[in-house]
Amino acid sequence: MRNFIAIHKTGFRLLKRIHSVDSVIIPIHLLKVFFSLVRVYAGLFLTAEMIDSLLGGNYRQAAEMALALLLAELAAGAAISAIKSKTKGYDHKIWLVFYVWLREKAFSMDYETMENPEVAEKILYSERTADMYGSLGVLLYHYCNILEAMLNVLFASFLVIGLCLSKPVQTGGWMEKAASPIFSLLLFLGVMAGMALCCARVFEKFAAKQMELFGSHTGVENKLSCLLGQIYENPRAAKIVRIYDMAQMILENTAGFIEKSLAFFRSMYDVQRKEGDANKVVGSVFTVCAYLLVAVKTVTGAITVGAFTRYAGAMNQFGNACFSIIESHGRLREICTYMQEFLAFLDTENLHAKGSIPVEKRTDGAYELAFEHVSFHYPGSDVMVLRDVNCKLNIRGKLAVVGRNGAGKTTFIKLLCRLYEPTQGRITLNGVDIRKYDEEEYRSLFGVVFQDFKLFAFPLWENVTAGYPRCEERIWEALRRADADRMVEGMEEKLDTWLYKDYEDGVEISGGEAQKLALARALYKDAPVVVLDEPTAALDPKAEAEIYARFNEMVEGRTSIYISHRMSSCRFCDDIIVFEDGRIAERGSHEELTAARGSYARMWEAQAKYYA
Amino acid sequence: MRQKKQYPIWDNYRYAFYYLRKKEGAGALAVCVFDAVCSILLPFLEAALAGAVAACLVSERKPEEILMLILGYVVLLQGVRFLQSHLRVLRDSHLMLFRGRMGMEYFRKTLEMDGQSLESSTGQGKKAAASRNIFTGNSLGIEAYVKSFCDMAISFGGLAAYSVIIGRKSLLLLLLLILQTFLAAVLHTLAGRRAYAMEDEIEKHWKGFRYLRRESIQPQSGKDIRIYRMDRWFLRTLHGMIDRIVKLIDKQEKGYMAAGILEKLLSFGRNILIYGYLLWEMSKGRLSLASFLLYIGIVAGFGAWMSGLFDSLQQIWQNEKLMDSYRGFMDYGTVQDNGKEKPSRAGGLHEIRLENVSFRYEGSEEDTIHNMNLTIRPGDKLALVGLNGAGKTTLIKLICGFYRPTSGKVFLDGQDMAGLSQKDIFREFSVVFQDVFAFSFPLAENVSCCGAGREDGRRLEESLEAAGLLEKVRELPDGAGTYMNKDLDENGVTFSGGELQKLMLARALYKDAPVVILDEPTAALDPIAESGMYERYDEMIQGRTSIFISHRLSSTRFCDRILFMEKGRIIEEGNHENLMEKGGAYAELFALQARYYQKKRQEEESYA
Repeated sequence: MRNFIAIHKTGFRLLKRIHSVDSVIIPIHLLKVFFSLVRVYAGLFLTAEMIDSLLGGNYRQAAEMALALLLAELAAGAAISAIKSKTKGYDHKIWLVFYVWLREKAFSMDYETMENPEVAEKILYSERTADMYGSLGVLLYHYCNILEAMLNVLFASFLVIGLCLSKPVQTGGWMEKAASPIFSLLLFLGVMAGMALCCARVFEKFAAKQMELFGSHTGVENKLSCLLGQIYENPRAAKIVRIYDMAQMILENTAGFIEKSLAFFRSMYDVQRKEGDANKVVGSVFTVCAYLLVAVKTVTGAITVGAFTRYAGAMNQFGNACFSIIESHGRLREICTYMQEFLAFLDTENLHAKGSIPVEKRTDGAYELAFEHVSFHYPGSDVMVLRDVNCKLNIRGKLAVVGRNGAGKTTFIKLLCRLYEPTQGRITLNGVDIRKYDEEEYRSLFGVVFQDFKLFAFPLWENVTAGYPRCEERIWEALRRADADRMVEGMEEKLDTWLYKDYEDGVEISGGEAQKLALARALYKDAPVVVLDEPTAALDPKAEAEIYARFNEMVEGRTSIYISHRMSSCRFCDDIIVFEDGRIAERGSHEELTAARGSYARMWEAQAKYYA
Repeated sequence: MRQKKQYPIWDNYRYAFYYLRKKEGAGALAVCVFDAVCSILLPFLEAALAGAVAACLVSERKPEEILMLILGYVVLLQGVRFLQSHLRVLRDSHLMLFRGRMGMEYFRKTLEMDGQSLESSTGQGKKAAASRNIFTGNSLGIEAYVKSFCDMAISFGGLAAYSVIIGRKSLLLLLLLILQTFLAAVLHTLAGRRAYAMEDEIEKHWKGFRYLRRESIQPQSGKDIRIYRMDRWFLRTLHGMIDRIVKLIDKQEKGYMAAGILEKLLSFGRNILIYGYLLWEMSKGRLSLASFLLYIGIVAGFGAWMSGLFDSLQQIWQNEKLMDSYRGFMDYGTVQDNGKEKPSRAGGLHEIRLENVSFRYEGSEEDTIHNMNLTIRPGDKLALVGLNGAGKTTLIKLICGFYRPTSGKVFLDGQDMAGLSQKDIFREFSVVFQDVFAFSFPLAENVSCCGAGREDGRRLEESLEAAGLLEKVRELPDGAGTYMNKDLDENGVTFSGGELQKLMLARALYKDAPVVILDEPTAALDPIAESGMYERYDEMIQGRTSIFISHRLSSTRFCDRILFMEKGRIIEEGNHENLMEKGGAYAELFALQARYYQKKRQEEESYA
C-alpha cells in the first residue's frame, strides 16, 4: 500500500509538471479519452438495438440504427485522429523538456555538488532510463489509459448489474436458478473478488521483483554514457584510437558494459512478461465466467439475443478495462520507480547557502579580496590542496601566480570565484566573508578564462556575450583587446559565424583562436577582477607577445590575476605569488624574488637559460 | 522524377533481419512469425464471436448444448489471447535487445573506419544521423523499423484473410473495400512523403539539441556556465530548439491528420453502402442474422486492419530515413586494407618523403598545405615551428598517414603510402597529439593500449619513468591498475593537465615506434618539468626519427633541423644558429619570446 501511494505521489507530481509545460496537454488527452468511450458505448448500444430490430423483422428501424452507428463512428473517429495528430507534437515537447528540467536544476546547483560523481550519475541515470522506457509522455499515456479504463469499468458495471438483475422467463431446471438475480449477482461478485485478490498478489510479487532489479542495477547506464561521450562521440579521440590501435581494447571494455546493461533489460522484460501472463490467466477466468453468465441469461430468456451482444460487449469492456488498469499500472510503477530518482535529483539541496548581501557597486574597481588562513581539500579526498593560505590581493594590482603542476594555483582561483568553499578559514571581499554575498552578484565581479574553458557551437557573438543581448560596439571592442578582431574580420559571416559543426555547419577554430575568443568573452563581461589561467598556452610566440604587450591596457583599472607556466609573464606583473605544495612559498616582485634565489629563481632559470 | 534511393526498402529489411538473426538467433525470427499468426487469428475469432453465438442461440439446440458450445469457443479465444500477449512481449524484448546489440556494430564502425573520413564534417554528420537509428528509444530507429514491418505483415495477412471471406459472399463488396483501401493508401503515402521531406530539418535541430544536452552538463563546462551565467542562454536555446522541433512535427502531423479524417469519411461512405447491401439481402431473406453479424464484424475488422496497415506504413516511412542514414554511415569511409602492401622496412628507421603534397580540408576554399616537398631523413631530429594556423598539425597528420594528401604523394622508404595498409603505417608512428585527455580506463590500458593483463609490465614501468610519471603512479591506490577519472570507477584518479601530458608521452614511449611525433607536449608542464623533459629528450628518442612541435622556441635548441612553416609552406629551414644568423622570420620570433627572459630589460620594452 505504501508502495502504491509513493508511486502515485510521484506520478501526480509529474502530471503537475506536465501541466506546467502547456495547460492544453492534459485536457486534450482527456478529450481523447472521452471520444474513445463515446465510440465504444455508442457501438454497443446501437448494435444491440439493431440486432433486436432485425430479429423482429423491422428493417427500417434497423437501417436507422445502422446509420446512427456509422455516424457516431465517423464523428468519434475523425475527432480522435485530429487529436492524435495534435498530441504528437505535445508528446515530443514533454519528452524533450524533461532533459531541459534536468539541466535547469543542474545549472542552479553549486559547482561542488555538480562535480560530485553521484549527482552526475543521477542525471545520467534519469536520462538513460527515460531514453530506454520513455518518460513523461508515456506516463501521461498510461494515466489516460487508467482513467479511460476506470470510466469503462464504471459504465460497464451499470450494464452488468442490470444484467444480473434481469429475471429469467422459463421455469424449472438448474438453469433458471443459475440465472436468478441473486445467484448471478453472487457469481459476479465472487469472481470479481477472486480476481481482485489474485491481481493484488500478482502486483505485490512483481513490484518487489522490479524494485530489486532496479536496486541492483546502478551505474552501468551512466558508464556507458561516459564511454559514448568520451570516445564514440568525441571526434578528437579518433586519431588517438587509430594511431595506437586501441579499437580492440576499447571494444572489449564497451562490450562488458553493454552486456551488463542488456542483461538488466532482459530481466526487466522477463518480469514484465511473467506478470502479463499471470494477469492474462486471471483475466481469462473472468471472461469465461462472464460469457457463461450472459449465455445463461439469454438461454433462459432473461435477455434478448440483441442484448447478448450488448452485455457480452460490456463484460468484455469490463474485463479488458480491469486488465488495462493492471497493465498500465504496472508500467506506471516502472516509470515512477525511476522517475523518483529524477524528482530526487530535482529536490537535491545545495550544500551551501547562496548568500544574500548585495555586492556594493563601485565604478573605481576598489574591491579588496583577501584569503584568511584558507585551507582546502576536495570533497571525497583528504589531501589538503591549499594549506593556510593568507594573502591580500592589491586593488587594481597585477598579480602573477606561479608554481609547479599541482601546487594549488587553479584551486586558489576556484575558491576565489566561489566554485568551492574553503574547508577552513575564509575569503573576504572588502572585509566581509564572501559566503554572505549573493552568489550571482559576487560572481559578477569576475571575468575568468579557465585553463579548460569552453566555447559552444553557437554564433560567435553569442559566445562572446555568453548569450546576453548583442551590443555590436562592445563586442568588437572586446575582440580587439583580445587580439581576435582581425581573425573575426576574416570570417565570412563575421560576428554571426557559427562555431564548430555540432549544430549548424560552422567553422572549426584552432586552440589559439579559441583562447582569444575566451579572452574576449572575459573582457566583454567588463568585470572588476580579471583572472587568466594559462591564457597563452595554445598561442604562438607572436600572439603571446601581443597579449603580453596589451595586458596592461586589457586589465587597466581592474584587479588582475595571471597564472602561467611561462615565466616571462611575471615580467609585467607587479606582484608575484609562488605556490608550493598548497602554500604560498614566496611573494614579491620579479627582482625581489630572483634576488632571493628561492624556488621562483629556480623556475625562472629553468626557462630563461634556453633563451640566453 | 525522384532520385533513386541508395538503399531500397527491401534491401534495408534484408539487412535488418539479417542482423536480427545474427544478434538474437533464429528463435527471435520464429517468435515474430508466431506472434504474427496469433495476431491475425485473434481478431478473427473475436469478430466471429457475435455471429457464432447468435447462430447458437437462435438454433434449436438444447440449452446445455448451447452453453457448452459458447463455453468452448470462449476458452479457445482466451487461449489464443494468452499466447498472443505472451509472444508480443517476447517479440518486443528480442527487438529491444537486438537494438542494444546493434550499438556494438555502430561502436565498432566508429573505431575502425577511416579516421580522416570520420573527422570530416560529412563523416560527423553521417555519424550523428546514424546514431539516431540506435539511440532514440523504442519508437524510432531500427527497433521500430523491424517492429513496423512485423505489424505491417500482420495487417496485411489479416486483410488478405478477410478479403477471401468477403470475396466469397460478394466480389463487388470486396472490390468496394479494396477501392477504399487503395484510396486511403494514396492519402497516407502522400502524407508520409510530405513528412519525409521535413525530416532533414528536424534532424538538424535534433542534432543541436543533443549537442547542447550533452555539453551543458559536462563538468568542464560547469565553471564557465557559472561565472558567465550562461544558464539562461542555454535554457533559452534548448527551449527554442524544442519549439522548432515541435513546430515541424505539428506541420508533419497536419498532413497525417488530413489523411486520417479523409480516410474516416471514405470508411463512412463504404459502410453506408455495405450496411445497406447487407440489410437489403437480409430483408429479402438471403442472409441469416448470424452471417450478417459475421460480415459486419469482418468489415469493421477490415477497417482496423487497414488503419493498422497505414500506421505501420507511416512508421516505416519515418524510420526509413534513419535506416538510410545508418547504412550510409556503416558503408562510409571503410578502410580498404585488404591486399595492400606492408611497409618494406617495418620497425626500421624510415625515410619519409613528401612530393608536391597539398591538402585541403573538406568544404574549405584554400589549401592548408601547399605543394610541399620535404624529405625527413632517417634519424632526423626535427623541430616544426610556426604561428597558429600555419598547418603544423595538419602536416604531421599527413606524415603519419592519418590524412591522405589532396594531391601529391607521401612516400615511406620510397613506397607510396596510398598503397600501404593503414594499420601497418600507423604501427611505425608514436604521436602525442595536442588533445590531452585520458580514457576512463585503467592507467595501464591508457598507456599500453591493449586489454587488461596483456601489457608488458617492464615496458610500462620504463615508459612511465621516462615520462616522469612513475613516482606518481606508485602513489596511486592500485598503481598502474588505477582507473583514470571517476567515470567508470569511483576510486579513479583525476590527473592535472601536466600529469596528463606526461601520460600521453608515456603512451608514445610505450609504443616504441621508429618515428616519434610530439605536438606541443609541454604546453601544460611547469618550467621545471619542461626543462627536465628537454634534458631527457635525447635519451628518450634516441635512435628514432623525431618531430617536435612547440610554441616554446627554446625547444628548438636540442633539435638539429628546424622547419619554419607559414601558411602551409616551409619558408625557412636550418639549425638554430643558421636561422638566427639569417635573421629571418624564425629569428624574429625567437627574439620576441626571448625578450622577456633577457636579464637586462629596458623597463619600457614590456609596454611596447
